[in-house]
Amino acid sequence: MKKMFRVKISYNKKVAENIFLLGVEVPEKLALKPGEFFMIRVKEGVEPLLNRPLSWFRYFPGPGVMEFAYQVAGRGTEILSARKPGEGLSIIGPLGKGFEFKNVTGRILLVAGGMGMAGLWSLAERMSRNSKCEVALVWGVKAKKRFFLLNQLPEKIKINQVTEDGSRGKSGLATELVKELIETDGAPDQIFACGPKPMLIELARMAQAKKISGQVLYEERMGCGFGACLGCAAPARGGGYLHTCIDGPAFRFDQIDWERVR
Amino acid sequence: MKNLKTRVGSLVLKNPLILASGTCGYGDAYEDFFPLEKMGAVVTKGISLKPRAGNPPPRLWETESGLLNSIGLENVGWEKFVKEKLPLLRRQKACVAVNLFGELEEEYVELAYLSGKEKGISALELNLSCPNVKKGGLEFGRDAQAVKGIVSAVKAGVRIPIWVKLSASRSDPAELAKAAEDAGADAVVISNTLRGMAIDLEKKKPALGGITGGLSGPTIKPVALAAVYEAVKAVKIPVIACGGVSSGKDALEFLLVGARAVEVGTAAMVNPLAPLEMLKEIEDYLSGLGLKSIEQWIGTLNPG
Repeated sequence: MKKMFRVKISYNKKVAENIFLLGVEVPEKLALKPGEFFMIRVKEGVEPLLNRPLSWFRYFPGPGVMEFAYQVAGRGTEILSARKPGEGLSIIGPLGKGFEFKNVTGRILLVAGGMGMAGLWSLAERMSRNSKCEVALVWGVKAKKRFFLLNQLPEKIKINQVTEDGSRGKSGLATELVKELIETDGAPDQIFACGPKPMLIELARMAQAKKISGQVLYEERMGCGFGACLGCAAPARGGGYLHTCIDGPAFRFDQIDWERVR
Repeated sequence: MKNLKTRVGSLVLKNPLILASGTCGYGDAYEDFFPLEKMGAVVTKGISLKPRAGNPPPRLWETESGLLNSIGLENVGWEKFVKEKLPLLRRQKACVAVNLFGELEEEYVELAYLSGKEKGISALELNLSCPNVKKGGLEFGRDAQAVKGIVSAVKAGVRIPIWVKLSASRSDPAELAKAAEDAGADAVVISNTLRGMAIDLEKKKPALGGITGGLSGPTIKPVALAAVYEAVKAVKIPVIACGGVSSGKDALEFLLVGARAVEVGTAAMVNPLAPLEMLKEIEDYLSGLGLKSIEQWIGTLNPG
């Protein structure tokens, strides 16, 4: 059940260019599903007004520490990055519907665009422990200094690094490598993706053409995070809108009307 | 201080805090955080006869201590509201006000008539002030004549108390409040969000899918406060305040100028426990002054 927690910051450290790893001590045991998220009050008071949604990144039930990985991208994350260990933080969660992956088997392809890896990390860890799954990851970033904690990803996962500037691994976009992999190795049984909208749109197009099922972690400007304001609308296949905070953020490719995604 | 009861016309609310329309879903959004019966009342998302899909995203844009939204009155429609949403509100023993929205006068009349047949609806809030739709809403709240017309039409067919939600962005909210009173309204709610706009500079386009939106949050409180102050002087029916209330002290200010209840919107969607924290703050403040009931505070502003 979602609730509001007052947590203590254990660490808030830079792990790559502009990217931070925030660890907080949570006062009680949490049951978390990959894809779920929390609303973070970066600072008490009315400025900035809204909480920031962040996927939970890793959770260590022993010490009761939960982590978030985030990129400094605006005034909210800028303020968050300046918060110090020992300080308190208000968070609301766990929120949203996470990935459905219990009965997924076979060849799994994870596709992360930049910071999208933060949303896929916990899923990657869970799936790598499933002996019926063979997990590969395509992770595309702008430049190599934007990769974070690469050496901490589960060893069983086959990692394909892509950089837009060619500073490491394959040069280009994550979706270009996905296309190549599908051509050389055949279609995977399932795709899980998180990243910028153009990447998701392109993946959805490929998935539909090759009849690959899959799920995405969808991002939209969010107000409350728990279904109060109906702000985070995602165009639904068949008309109308889904709400990223309560119907998602994990959606099957076929739930979204990708033609209307902006 | 135990006595936070406030009268809004014939209705007695257990305390003066109301969850505002549009930021509490159908009440269901707060279910996990606190029992809805703790609130003086809960106002549902605006309900129309037929479901509405709402405006295209982006629907939100954060401003300085404020929030612009362009939701566009997305809602499940009357039928589904009664079947799926109202039962929870009844179960939670909430005092429920249903916010009604139509594009035509007849739709408001029809919705009010249908509401009269349902159990568990204590008041109707007519939305004559939504800035995010092309037809209806603010169009009916544009001038005294329009307000009078629609309020008397609705009032003719129902016995449930009618609250009329007006915008403080009109030139003379007090005049609109007077028009509502003359037409038989049981209370007025002032204000809704204020029409506003933001630009996404990088993309060189409007930040909202609906181009313009409605501004809410702490930034609009002074505007709402002035409008409530004027309206209280202009009418005898109760005035319910709405606009930027973010703390118990904010609520106390509105009550001091004479509002009989205060709606909380954006503050609750940012901190779902804010309404309870605000109640405590109000209670402690008034106890500190040695007051026995909130009635001893409402409308006791010293003239300047």
